[in-house]
Amino acid sequence: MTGLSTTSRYENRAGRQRRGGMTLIELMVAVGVMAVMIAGFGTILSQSQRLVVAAQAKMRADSAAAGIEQVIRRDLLRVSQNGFISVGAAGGSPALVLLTVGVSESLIGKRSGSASIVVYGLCDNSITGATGKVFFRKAWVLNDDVSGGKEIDQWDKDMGQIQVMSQGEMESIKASAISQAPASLKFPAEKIAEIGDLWQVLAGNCTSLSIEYASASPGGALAWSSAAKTWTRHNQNNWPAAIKVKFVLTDPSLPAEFQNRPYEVICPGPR
Amino acid sequence: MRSSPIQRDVAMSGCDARRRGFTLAEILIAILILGVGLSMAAAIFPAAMTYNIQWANTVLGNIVCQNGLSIARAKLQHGDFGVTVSEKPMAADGNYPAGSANDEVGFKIFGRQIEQDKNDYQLVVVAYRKAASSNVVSVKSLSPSAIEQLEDGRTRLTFASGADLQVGSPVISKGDGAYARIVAVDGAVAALDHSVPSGSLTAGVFVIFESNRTDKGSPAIAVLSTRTSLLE
Repeated sequence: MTGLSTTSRYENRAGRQRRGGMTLIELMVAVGVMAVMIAGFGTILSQSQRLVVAAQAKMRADSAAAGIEQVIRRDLLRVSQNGFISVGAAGGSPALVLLTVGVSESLIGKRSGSASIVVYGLCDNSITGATGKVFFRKAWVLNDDVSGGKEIDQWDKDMGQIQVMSQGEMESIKASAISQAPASLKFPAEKIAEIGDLWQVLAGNCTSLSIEYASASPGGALAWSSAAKTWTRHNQNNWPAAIKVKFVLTDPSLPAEFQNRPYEVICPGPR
Repeated sequence: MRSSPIQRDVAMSGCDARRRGFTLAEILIAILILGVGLSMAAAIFPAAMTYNIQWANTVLGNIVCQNGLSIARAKLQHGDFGVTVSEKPMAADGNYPAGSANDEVGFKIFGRQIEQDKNDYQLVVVAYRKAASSNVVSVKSLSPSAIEQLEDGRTRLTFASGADLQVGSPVISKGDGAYARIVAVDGAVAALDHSVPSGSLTAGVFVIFESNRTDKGSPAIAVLSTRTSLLE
């Protein structure tokens, strides 16, 4: 073996090394295949992503609705026929006012009472305007002790006084509760002044609220009505057999078909 | 014998030949493997979606069951049920939203008188959500031909062939209103999620059935069993 022949063989191998790599055409084919594949997966993933976002929004709305449902059921189950239920309107939106029986405490003071006056309604959100309204609730503790001033969530009557009231006096309590409902609330609130009068925000993205009731209907279909009406101990036989609170939670950031989630909570009327 | 410098060069050029670039076939195989990996990653999404849907159905099912109980108390009266369990059709009142024509979500109600002639009833409310709005949800009355109590604390029921069984459906005993959920179906044999005494099942059972289900799943999403008086 001579040095010359070895050198030519080495050059030959170097030549083969160049041929062993990919040509431009081969590289372009590979990149093309990969691009098609990535485009395919990208489509699938973006569709899944859309569905996942929608599902998460549904879950958020569902858990919010489940929480609201619990609050509504707890209040409506504590209504007694010695008190009242009233379906009316506050600021153009439906409102529900009721007297719930059971020990209740003022959120900020030490006063407690054996009953509360509760109001539910809808008002504008001062951040988003009318597009996402605020579904609110407020409870006032019944306690006629006003020494040293009335608490923000105290109603200066006691249950004994309410029980002997005429229908008209109960109507005026309802009207007074509704008249205090705010025209707008700020949600999310940033300062203590915006939490102000202890209006509880059940949902800050509610677009619709309706309150309906039905009389007992043995054998027949229930007839739901939303006309304003008040029930007190003076008309005990006509109390509604079922009360329905319908609301729609909205997420404007989602595609139109996923934006609105309607819910309906039906509670039995007091017997 | 030691190799000369030239021989070492030759060995190194052999090494260079091994370090040559990929061929097209190799790249395609690599892309294929990547594709398999990506498709496995993509399969995680539907699994997460299924879980989300189940969770949402449970939340909705509980609301529908409570609504159903409220509607039943406003509508059903003393005497509507006998001492054995029967179903009371609710028509549009059994839809969610109540009274609407949309029957995609709704409930079925079963009841029995706990004691003869007394206004004291057991109600079982089954909330459902259909897979497609054109499907029909119905209640099937079935009689098991064999009841086996398994060692793992479950009950296995065998029905006549052709029985309509769907995984997830509640099985409600006609005798005493005991209920369990079907966790597995093999032809006309159903395994229940817990043990139900054989005596409760001999009088027959009710199951919930949705037509045109391809996945053999049940539309039932929640069950509520309670005791209440009805309208006098």
